[in-house]
Order: sequence, then structure tokens, then C-alpha cells
Amino acid sequence: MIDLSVEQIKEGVEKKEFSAEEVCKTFLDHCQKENPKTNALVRINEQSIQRARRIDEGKLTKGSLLGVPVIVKDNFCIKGLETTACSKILRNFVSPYTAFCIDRLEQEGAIIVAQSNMDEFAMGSSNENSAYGLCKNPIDHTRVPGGSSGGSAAAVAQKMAPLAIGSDTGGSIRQPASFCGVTGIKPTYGAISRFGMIAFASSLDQAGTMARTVKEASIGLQAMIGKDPQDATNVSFSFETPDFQSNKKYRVGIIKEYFDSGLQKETSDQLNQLIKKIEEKGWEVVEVKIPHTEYAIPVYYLVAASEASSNLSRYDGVRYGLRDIQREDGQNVNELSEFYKLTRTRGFGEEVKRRILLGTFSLSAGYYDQYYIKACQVRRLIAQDFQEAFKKCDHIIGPVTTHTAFKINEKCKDPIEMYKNDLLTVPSSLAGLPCMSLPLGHDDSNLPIGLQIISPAFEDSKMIEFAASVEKLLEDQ
Amino acid sequence: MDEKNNIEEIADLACLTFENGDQDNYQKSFDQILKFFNSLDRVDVKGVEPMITPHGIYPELRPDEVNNDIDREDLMALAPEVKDSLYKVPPVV
Repeated sequence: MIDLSVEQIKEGVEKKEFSAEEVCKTFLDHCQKENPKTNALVRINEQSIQRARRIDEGKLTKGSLLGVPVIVKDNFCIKGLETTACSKILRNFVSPYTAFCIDRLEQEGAIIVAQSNMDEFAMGSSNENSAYGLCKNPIDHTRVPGGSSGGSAAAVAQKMAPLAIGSDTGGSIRQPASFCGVTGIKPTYGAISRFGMIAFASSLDQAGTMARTVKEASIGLQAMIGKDPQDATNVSFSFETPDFQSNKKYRVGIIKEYFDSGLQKETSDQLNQLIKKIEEKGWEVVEVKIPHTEYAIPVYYLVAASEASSNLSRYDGVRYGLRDIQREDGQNVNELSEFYKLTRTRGFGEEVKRRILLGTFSLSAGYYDQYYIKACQVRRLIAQDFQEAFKKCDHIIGPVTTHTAFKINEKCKDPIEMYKNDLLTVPSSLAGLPCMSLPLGHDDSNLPIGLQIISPAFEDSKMIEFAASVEKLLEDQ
Repeated sequence: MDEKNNIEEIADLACLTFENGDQDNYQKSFDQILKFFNSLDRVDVKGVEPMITPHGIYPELRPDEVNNDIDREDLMALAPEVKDSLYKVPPVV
């Protein structure tokens, strides 16, 4: 049963070939069995069996995800469940409401069977910054699964659920999907409401899906899209159900700067093989340029850290979450600013504090124009580069990362080395474009290599159609 | 962009402090990251409008109406310390 697709489970439950309870129990058992291998999950939701029973009792009879087990990253609030963004500062926080997009999934019949591990507040590229301990790559346990949605990617690869939800600020769905050999979609910024998704960088954060195939990830995505007045940046746009059998011809863009970024040999070889296949199919391949690619990392880290420093100011030990105010002498602090400082210092992990400091600095008097505003100006230049590129092509393909999954502890002592890992995912995030990762192949060590697709804003449905055609092309290889 | 910035002053603005003498590590990585960011000095941005949010999305405000989706008691129950239905903090004045 764990091999069944999203559609097969939905149809089986609908036609009563098997019960939702049977499905739920199978996946809960599989989660219990598989999780100790990687630590992909931070909580298994045994209560979900009650929801499955309600479906079997006929309380819900229709829905694109009827009875489908779904794993949700630990930064989406779910009413009645602990939600912590894998941070000590939110430990024991039980959400009093459910994120809009998770509510949409449940309305379509999804069953939330577990919550997945992640880098604290989604800040990281390796899932090593988690208050619950690191998550391991399911293919090679000595390596990272990528981040920040490392737990969601690992869980899908381990078949703990056919569908998982992640969030992507600068590559946090695409990079782990690539490292774990699954498909991940980050929609256009504004496509999915951010209400109830714990904020990191508000002008970049987007929810998205991970699954084994393009179609399954797309079904999940479609369920989450919808206008929500609770998120002022949520855009109303029509997402047509993609045609998964499309035979369209495409003009496919190749970003020169991405291919010149020092790619691992197997990655560039397999991309070149795919390009050859695309040409043989009669699609046009055109070279495009994103000349400001080299500046994307500083721009991204300045913008994201600035927004994070503001968003994370809400964690103060007063209204919810951790309060840790005991001094070294055993006495509690009795002064308000020291009270805030101690709780925040002890509640946040090292990388989160580093980014809060960086963001506070770049927004501070005297440096605001020099750092934050300058980064926002270069951000526009990057977005304009993509606008120019899409005059020449329909979609862009390229690598997700320069190398396959790296070793645990390999980069965590050097923040700049870790940040550089995001080079090929942050440019499209800064431009707010829809983008995704799908399995391209494996390197000589059998580690998965991902293919990135980037499309024009709000052409998410067309991107998925194109991705389905590419997926077919790769299957035929 | 070559100023020497004191990490303790920035931490104070961010309502953070340092324990176990770890400010040197933060200072070191902070200085390295700022140096790395100096590559932005090479970009000519004269006349470029800063991009604060993608696609020119400007916040669409909803009506400012009170709704009682979440129960007050449920919210207060999340607080680490409550007294007489109010959040308890150290004396402010």
C-alpha cells in the first residue's frame, strides 16, 4: 500500500476498495518503522486515525485528496497540534488555529499523519539546524537531506506519505527534493496564502509540495491554491488543471551562468544528455543570460535576514513559547529588557541568531540604504534579467545545485560555504517565480541529481505541464 | 562597506545577548559575511527602484473588523505566566 500514488489512494477510498482507516494505519505504522533511520519526522499524529474513520463513516465523500496521508513541515500551524518550526523558542506551542493552505488540504480529504523535521525557522540548507536534531539523507545516512524542508523530502523518499508539504524561501523545497530524489514545486510568490505558515522572510516565503511524481505534487498544490483575505499578499489567479498528456512544443532556455558555476561532472553530463534529447524531440533550445546571478547570494541573505529580524521580534517569552529567565546565580531577572534578551538568546539557535543580527544591522540607522535598500535594488535587476530571458523562451531548465548531497558536518562550521550552496535556487526566489525540482538521475555514488525548471510568474500550471513532458522524456531515456 | 561593527551593540538592538563567551565567534562570522556582501559595491544601481516585494504586489487590506475566530481563553492558555487574565512580565516602571 505504501507504493500507491495520491490518485490511487483517493480512488481506492472513494470506491471503498479499502478504508481510509486502513490507509492511515498502514502509513502511521510505516512512519514509526522508518523514522528512526533518518529522523525525518518530529511528531507522528496518531490522532489522525480518528479523521480517517470520519471519512469511512461518510462525513466526507469527495475531494482530490480523499483519505490521502500527508506530512506537513513543522512550520505550518495545525489547530490542536504542537507546531514549533523546530525551534526551542516554540517548544510546547500548541496552535489555536490552522494555516489556510493546510485547511484547504483537509477540506479535500487529506489526513495529516505527521509533522516533519526542518532547519529552525526554515533557516538552513542541510536540516542540521533543528532543535530536534539533524535529519539524515535516506539514500546515504552520512549525508544531509538538504534543507530547510529536509524532513519532508526524506519522508517522501522513504514512502512515509505520498505527499508532503514544505516551504521555500530561497530553495528550501527544491534543494532537498533534489538531494533526496523526489519532485518539489515552489509556486509563484503570492499563489498560496501564507496565513498560518510561520514567517521567516515575508517577501520570499511560499508553501509548496513534494511527492514522487509531478502529477502527485501538482494535485497537492492545486488543493492549496485559493484566495485568502487573511494574507494581504495572496493573489487571486486561475490555476487550470494541467494537461499531463500535453504534446506541446517548447522553447527551452538554458542559463549560461548556471552551467558555468562549477557543476559536478555527472550533473553537467546528464543535463547535456537531456538537452540533446530535447533537441531530438524537436523542441528549441536557446541560451539565455541572468547576468546578475553572482550577486544573488548577498542580495538574498540581506533581504531574508532583514525580514527575519523583524518577523522574529515577536518571540519575547510573554505571550507564548519559551520563557527562560533564570540568571546564572539562580535568580530570575526582574528587568524587562534583560527578560527578553535571556529568553531569546536561549530559545533561538546559532544560525537563527546570526541572521537576526545580520538583519538588525542591515536595517539599522546609517546602514539601511547601504545594505537593505541596495540589496532590494539589485533584486530588481535580477527580476529584470528573468523578464528578458522569458522573451526568448517558455521555460528554463538547469541544475538545482552544483553538487549532490554533501556530508553531515561538512559545511556547518562555515556559514558562507553553506550560503553558497543556494546559488542556483535563490535567483528565481528573489524574482518570485514558480520553479520546481524533479529527479534527473544519479551521480557515480548513486546520489540523486535534480533538474530545476523555472517559469514566468503565474504560469505555474504551464510549468507543471512542461515538467510532466520532461518527466516522460527522462523515463524514456 | 568596510566599517568595523561591534556585535554587542547590534545584539542589544536585536534584544539578544551572549552567553558562554560566544560573542567572538559571532563577531568573526559577522565580519566575514559582511565582507562577502561587499561584492554588491560593484553593481551600478543608479535610478533602480528597490524591489520590496515581487510582481508589484501591494498589500490588499481586508476590512478592519473584529472576529472571534480564536477564543481569548485559548490564547491566554498559551502564555508562560498569566495573572488575573493578564500576561505577567517584570515591572516596567
